Amino acid sequence: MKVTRDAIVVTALAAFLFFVAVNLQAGWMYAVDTFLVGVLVAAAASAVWSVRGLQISRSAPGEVHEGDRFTVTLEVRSRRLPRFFLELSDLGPAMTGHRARVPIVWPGRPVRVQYRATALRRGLHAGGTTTVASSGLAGWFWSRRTVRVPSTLTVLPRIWRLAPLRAAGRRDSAEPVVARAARAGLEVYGVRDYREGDSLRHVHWRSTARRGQLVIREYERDAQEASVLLLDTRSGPHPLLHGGEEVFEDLVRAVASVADAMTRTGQPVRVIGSVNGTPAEAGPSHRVVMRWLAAIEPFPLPRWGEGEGEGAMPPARVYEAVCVPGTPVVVFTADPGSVEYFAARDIPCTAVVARGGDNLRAQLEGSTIHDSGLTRYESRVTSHESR
Amino acid sequence: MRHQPEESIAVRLTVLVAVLVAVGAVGVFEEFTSQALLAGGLITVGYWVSYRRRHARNVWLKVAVALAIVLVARDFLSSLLANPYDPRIALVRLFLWLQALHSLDVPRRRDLKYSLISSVVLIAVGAAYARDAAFGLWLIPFAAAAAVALVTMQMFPDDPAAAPAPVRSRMSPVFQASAALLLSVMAGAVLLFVAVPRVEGYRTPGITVSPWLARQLQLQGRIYNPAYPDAPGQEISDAPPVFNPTGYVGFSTYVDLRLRGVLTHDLVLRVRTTRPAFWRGLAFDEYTGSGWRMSDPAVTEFQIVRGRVPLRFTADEPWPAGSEPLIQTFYIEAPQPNVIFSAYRASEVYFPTSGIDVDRYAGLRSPVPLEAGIIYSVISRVPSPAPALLRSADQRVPPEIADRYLRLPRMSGRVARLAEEITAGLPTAYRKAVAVQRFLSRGYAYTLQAPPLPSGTDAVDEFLFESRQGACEVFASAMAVLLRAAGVPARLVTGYTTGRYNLLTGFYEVYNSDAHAWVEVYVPRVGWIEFEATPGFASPEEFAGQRPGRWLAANAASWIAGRTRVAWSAVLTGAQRLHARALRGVDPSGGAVAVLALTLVLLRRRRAPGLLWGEGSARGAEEPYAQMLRLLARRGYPRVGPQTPREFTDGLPAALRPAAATITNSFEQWRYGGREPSAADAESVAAALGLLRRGRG
Repeated sequence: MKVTRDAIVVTALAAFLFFVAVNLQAGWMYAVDTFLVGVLVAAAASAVWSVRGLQISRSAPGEVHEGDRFTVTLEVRSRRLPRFFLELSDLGPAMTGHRARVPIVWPGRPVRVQYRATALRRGLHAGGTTTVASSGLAGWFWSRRTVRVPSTLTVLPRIWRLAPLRAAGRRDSAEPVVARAARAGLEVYGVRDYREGDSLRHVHWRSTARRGQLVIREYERDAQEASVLLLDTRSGPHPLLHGGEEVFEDLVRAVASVADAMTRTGQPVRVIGSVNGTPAEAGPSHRVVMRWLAAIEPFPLPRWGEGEGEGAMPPARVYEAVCVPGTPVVVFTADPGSVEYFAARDIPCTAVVARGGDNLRAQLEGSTIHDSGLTRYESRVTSHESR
Repeated sequence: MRHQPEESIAVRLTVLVAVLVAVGAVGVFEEFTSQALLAGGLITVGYWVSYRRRHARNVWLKVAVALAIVLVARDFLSSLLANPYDPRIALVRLFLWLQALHSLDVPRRRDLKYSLISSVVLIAVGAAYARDAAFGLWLIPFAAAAAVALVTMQMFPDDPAAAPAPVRSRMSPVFQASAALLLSVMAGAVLLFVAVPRVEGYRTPGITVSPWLARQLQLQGRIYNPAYPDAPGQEISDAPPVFNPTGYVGFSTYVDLRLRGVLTHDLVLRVRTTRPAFWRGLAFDEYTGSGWRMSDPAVTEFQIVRGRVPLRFTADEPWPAGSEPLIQTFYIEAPQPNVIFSAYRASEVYFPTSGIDVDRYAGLRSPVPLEAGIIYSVISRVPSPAPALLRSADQRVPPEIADRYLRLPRMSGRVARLAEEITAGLPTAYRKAVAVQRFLSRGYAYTLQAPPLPSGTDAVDEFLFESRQGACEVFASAMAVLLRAAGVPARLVTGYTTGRYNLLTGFYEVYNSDAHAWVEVYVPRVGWIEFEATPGFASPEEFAGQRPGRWLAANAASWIAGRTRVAWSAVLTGAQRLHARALRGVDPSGGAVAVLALTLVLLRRRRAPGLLWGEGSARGAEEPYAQMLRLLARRGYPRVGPQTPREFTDGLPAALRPAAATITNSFEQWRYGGREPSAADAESVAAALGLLRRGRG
C-alpha cells in the first residue's frame, strides 16, 4: 500500500491533536481527533478492500486480424461491500492495454467498461491480467493488485488488400468465377464473415441474423480445383534463408492476403506447409485457412554449419507429401533456391520470395505480381523478388 | 514545475462548504460570532476571487496576504502576552483570520487541501473551547462536508490527462461514496472515541485562566454568598432559619444545621481535572450546637503575579506527608459565592484578579463574586499518605491543632459515651475515623427533608439518638463531633462533589444540588485527611485510589448497564401495574386465562412454527430444505441455479445423499404436490437434518 503525502500530513495532525487532547483533556478534541483517525482508517481500509476479491472478466471477439481495432468489455463485479475509486489497467492477450477509472462498484451491480483495443500479434493467445489500483474513499492511500483475467484471442494474420489473383496453372482471369456458385451439385461447407467484394447472393441470412453482421456462405469445391498455397515454415538465421521471424510473419501475411484475394474471386484455396516437421494442409474454407495461418509457427533452422536441421521440411518435400504431382502451386518462401525443384519438374509454380528488409506488402500490392507472375507463367518458375 | 490550477467548481464549492461549517462551529461561541460572520463572508469572496484569478500569477495579492498574515500574527502574539494562561481565544482568532486570508489565494488543488486541513485545525481549536454537547451538532456536518470534499476531489482528478466527464453524471457517485465514507468514519470514530483510554492530562503547562477582571469589587476577605447574605449587626445563628434553594448555606460564614430543603438542579461549574476529587470551599472549626462557624475569620491576602500565586498556609495546615499533584480548571457557569473551589490542598492558584484571600483553614476566597464566565485553575497536592504512616503509633497532636479542633460545646454525656464506645481500643486517629464512618453508615438515613430541629436541642445529639436521619452537613457534623469527643481533631468542610463526567466534553459538570459537606480529620504526622461521613456518597479515599486515566469503554458499558437496569425495572413495574389492574377487573381469572392461552399458542408454534402466521406447516417444510441448502453450501456443495432439487440431491456424494433425499422429498411433496408434511415426516426431516449437521449423511 502506498501512503500519500496527504495521509502523512493528516496522521501527523491527528497525532498532534491527540497530544493536545490528552494534555487539555478536552473531550471534543478527542472527538475531532477520532474523526481524523476514523477517516485515516476508512481511507486505508477502503483502499485495501477495494482491490481484493473483485471478480473481473474480459470479453472480446474470438477472432480478429492483426492490427484490427475491436471492442473489449471488462466486467467488474463485487460480491460483498462496495468498492471505490478503482483504476483498472487491463492487458488482454496480444492486444493493446487500456486504463479506466471506475468510481464505485456496488455488490450485485457489475460495472462494465468498454474500450477499443488493437490486435497485436498473430497467433492463438490466452491469458491476460488486469491491475486494479484503488485510492480508497479519501484518496490518501493507494493499494494495487494484479488479477489474472483469462481470455482467449485468435489473431489471424493481417490481410493486405490485393487485386483479385489467379494462381499459375489456373483458368484465365477473365472467366467469371462467381457464376460457379450457381453450378449444380455445389454444396455449402461453411460460412465466413462478409468481406468487401462478396456477392450479397451468398449471404447466409440465418447466421447473419444470429451474429448481427453479414455472414457469407462458402461452397464446397473439388479439392483438385483449389489453388495450393505452399508456405515454407522454415525460419531462422540460416544462410539459406532471408531474414528471421519477421520475414516469416510477412510470408504468413502474404499467404493470407493471396488466399483472401483468391477467395474473393471465387477460387477455393488450400494451404500446405510443415507443422512441427510434418506436412499439413488446411482449406478450402476461408475460415479454416485463416485459423491454420493464425496457428502456424516457424520451424527454426540451426545456424550455419550445423546442418539443415533434423525434421525441417523444405517446400519440395511438403509438396511431394501432400500434392498430386503436377499440381500448380504458389510457394511462399524465404529460400530462393527452394523453387528450383518446381522448375526442374515443370510444375506450374509461382513463387513469392521474401528477403529480410523487403516490403513484401508493397510488392504484392504492386501490379507486377499480377501481370508478370501468377496468371501468366504456368510452366516455369517465376521468382518474384523484391529489388 | 508550475501546477495546474484547479478548474473544478465542484471541488472548490465542496471545500468551501467544509471551511464555512468549521467557521460556523467557531462562530457559535459568543466571543467569536461577529468575527466568524466577517471571516465567513471574506472566505466566500476569497474563494470567488481565487477561482477567477486561478490562472494569474497574483503577485500583488500574495504580497497583500503575506502582509495581512504578519498583522494577524502580531495580534496573536500581543494577545498571548496579555494573557499567557489562556491562549484559546487568541488561537481561535488567529486560525479564523489565517483561513480567511488564505482563501484569497487558493488557485491549485494543493492549496484547497491545505484549506481543508486548516479548517480541521480551526474546528479542533473550537473543540478545545467547547464546553457543552451542542458542539457535536457542528462536528457531524463538518465531517459530512469534509467527506464530500474528499470524495469530490477523487471524482474530479486534477490530472489534466484525465478525460473530463459531465459534472452531473459524476455527482451521484460523489454522494454515494461520501455517504459510505461518512458512515464508516462515524462508526470508526465512535468506536475509537469510546475505546481510546483517556490518560492523565496536563503533562505540559497549559493552565487556563479567563481574561483579567478589570472591574474588581473588593470584598476584603469577607465571605459573600448571594443566597445567604450576611445581615450587618445580626448574629446569623439567632435568626430564624430560611432555606434558599438557589444556593448552599455551607458557603456562608455560618453553616446552619436547622435548614431543611432541596437545592435546585442548576449547572454551576464545569471542571476539567486530571482526576476526580471533592471541590472544597470552606472549612469550619467551631461547632455551636446548631451550626458551624469559623472561630478565626481573618484572612491573608496573596498577590497574584502574572496570573499565578503559590500558596503558603499556617501551621494548622501542614504539608501532607505523601501527596499527588492534581490540576483542575474551573469554568463558572452560574453566579457563585466568592469561594475559590479546589481539591484539598491547593498549592498554586491561577486566578484573573490581582490577589486572593486565604483563611487559616486553607479556604481560598476571591476578592470578587464568581460570575459566569470566569475561568481559573488550581494545582493541588492531594494527600495520599502511605498506609504505614496512617498506622503510625505516634498520635501526638500539636497543641495549636488540639486547641482549635477538639473544642466542643456543652453536650449531653451520651454523645461522648457513644464516641468512646465506637472508638474503644482503636489506637490511631485514622482507625477511629474509619470506625465512626462505619458507624454512621449503619442505622442512619440520608434525607434532605428531615424533621425540623426542635428548639434548644443539639443538632448532632438529636440526629444521633432521636431522628437518626439528616442531610450531609448533619452527618458530617455528627462525625466531626464524635471524633472530637474521641480525642481526634476534626472539622466540617463544605464544597461540591465531583459532579457528573460528560463523555463528550471531558468536563465534570457540577450542579447546585451537588453542594456537599464532609469531614477533614487530622492524622498526626500525616496532615488533614478527607472523610466522607454521609452514606451513599463516593469517598475521597476512593478518588485517591483511582488510577489516572479514563477509559470510556468502561463508562459506556456501565451507562448501557444502567439503562438496561432502568428499562428492565420499567418493564417489571409495568407488568406489576398490569397485573394489579387485571386483579381489579371484573374477572380476576381473565389475566391468568390470557397468559395460559398465550403460552399454549407459543408452545404450538414451537411444534408448528407457521401457526401464528396462518401458513399451516408450510414453513415447516420449506425451512428445513433451506437449512439443508445452507449447510451443504458451507461444505462446498452449493446448489447451482438451474438444478432441480432432485438433480441437486442426486449429484451429492453418496454419504450425504440419503439424508438429503429425505429432506428433498418432503420439500417436493409440499412444494409441488401440495401435501403438507405429517408429524412423522417432520420428525424424519429433523433427524436427517441432524445427521447432515453432524457430518454423516
